[in-house]
Amino acid sequence: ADLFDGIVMAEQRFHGEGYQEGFAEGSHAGMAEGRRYGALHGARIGSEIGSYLGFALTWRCLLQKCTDEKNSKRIRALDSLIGMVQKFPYNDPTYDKLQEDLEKIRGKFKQVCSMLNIQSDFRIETERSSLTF
Amino acid sequence: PCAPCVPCPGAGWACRAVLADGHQRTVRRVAWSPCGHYLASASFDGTTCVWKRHEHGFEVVATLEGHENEVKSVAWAPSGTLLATCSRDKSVWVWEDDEEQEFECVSVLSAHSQDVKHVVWHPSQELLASASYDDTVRLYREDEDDWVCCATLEGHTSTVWAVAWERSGQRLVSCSDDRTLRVWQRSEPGEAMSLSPGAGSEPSWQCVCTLSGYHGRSIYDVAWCHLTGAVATACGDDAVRVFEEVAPAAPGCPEQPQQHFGGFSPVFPIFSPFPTLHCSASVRSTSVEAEPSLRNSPSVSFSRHMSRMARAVLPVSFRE
Repeated sequence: ADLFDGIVMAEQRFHGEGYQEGFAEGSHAGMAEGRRYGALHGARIGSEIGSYLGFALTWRCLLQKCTDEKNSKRIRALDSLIGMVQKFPYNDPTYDKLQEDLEKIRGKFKQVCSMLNIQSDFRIETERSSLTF
Repeated sequence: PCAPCVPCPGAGWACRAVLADGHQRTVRRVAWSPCGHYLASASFDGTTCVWKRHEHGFEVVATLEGHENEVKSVAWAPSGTLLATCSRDKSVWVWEDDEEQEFECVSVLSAHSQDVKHVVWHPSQELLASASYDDTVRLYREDEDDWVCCATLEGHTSTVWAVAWERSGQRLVSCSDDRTLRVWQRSEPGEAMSLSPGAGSEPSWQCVCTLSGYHGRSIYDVAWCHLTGAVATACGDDAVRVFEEVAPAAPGCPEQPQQHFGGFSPVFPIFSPFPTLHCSASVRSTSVEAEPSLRNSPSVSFSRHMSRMARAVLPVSFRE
């Protein structure tokens, strides 16, 4: 009976082995892809936030000497943006408020741009939106 | 292209000004400032213009830029120094007027996840409400130099087109693509049974009344009269409806439910027939529903835990 087991169960065995091999390979490939995606996405966010920080620090420097009311409001907003960026947890991708804080930083950046009369949108707007009421 | 509008003689209205150079695309909304000297116009070109009224016309005193695409709504705060705009870019912007009519952006709020259709200020406080394609209404207030979203009103199952405040500011009504009106009530922290006990120090809002089955299509606008308390709606089924809160019924009236609730009933339905509600109230775990006897008839439902507040605040009973 054992003699024939090897032959009779051969197909099933190869099937199983093939599945295991495929699964292992797939997991490995998935890990690699996930890592690449994470790195890319992380870099994108880092680059975005980094640009906000550089922008804010530069302007903070430029406005340092200005003491009038209008500029003091701008300085307050810049300080707020700098604070938000510095508080952002770079080392914890599982931080539950990540998207929320990111949106707050983007919102603060847009506000600062508005106060400084700078265009915050650095992309070239090519799409023409359709009318929706 | 349509023919230029010819003013009707003897109509009682005269066209004083045509402000054609302010915007490059559709002007979606206009709003007068509380003092009446300024007019704000929100446009699909992404900008909001603030016009100052002069003897001989209007002049642009500020152009508020920053939204990435169409601005859908603009509203002045009761104080007259704050302006709110909202856009398809999913954000709500709050602007402040310094004395020189220079508007400065005070906050960019990206709380909604979709197109924001409407913004409206509380009648007396600096509290802002916004309605969105994401089916929610959100409330915002200032908190230590920055604006935050302090409440999210969920319940509608489709786009919320507009919101209106009651005169007291304790309630607001929202109208939606889902053909219902919802009335939301404010409750102070610690007061009444809150659905989320850990709410802390923020007032919470609960939906105390849902009016469904009255409108045949999407409800695009709602207005709550500050003089009479009547609520009017604009609907895609070509009708205008007016709702009023029902007065208390006589005691001993048959089929009167055990508890008394605030109820809204249609007063002047313009389209036929007047919907009749044959109701019996039953208490379920968290809501009390008045079940209509006919399947497709209108229904009104209330939140149970708010019923006690409703009883104290609105001593009315459900009229058959």
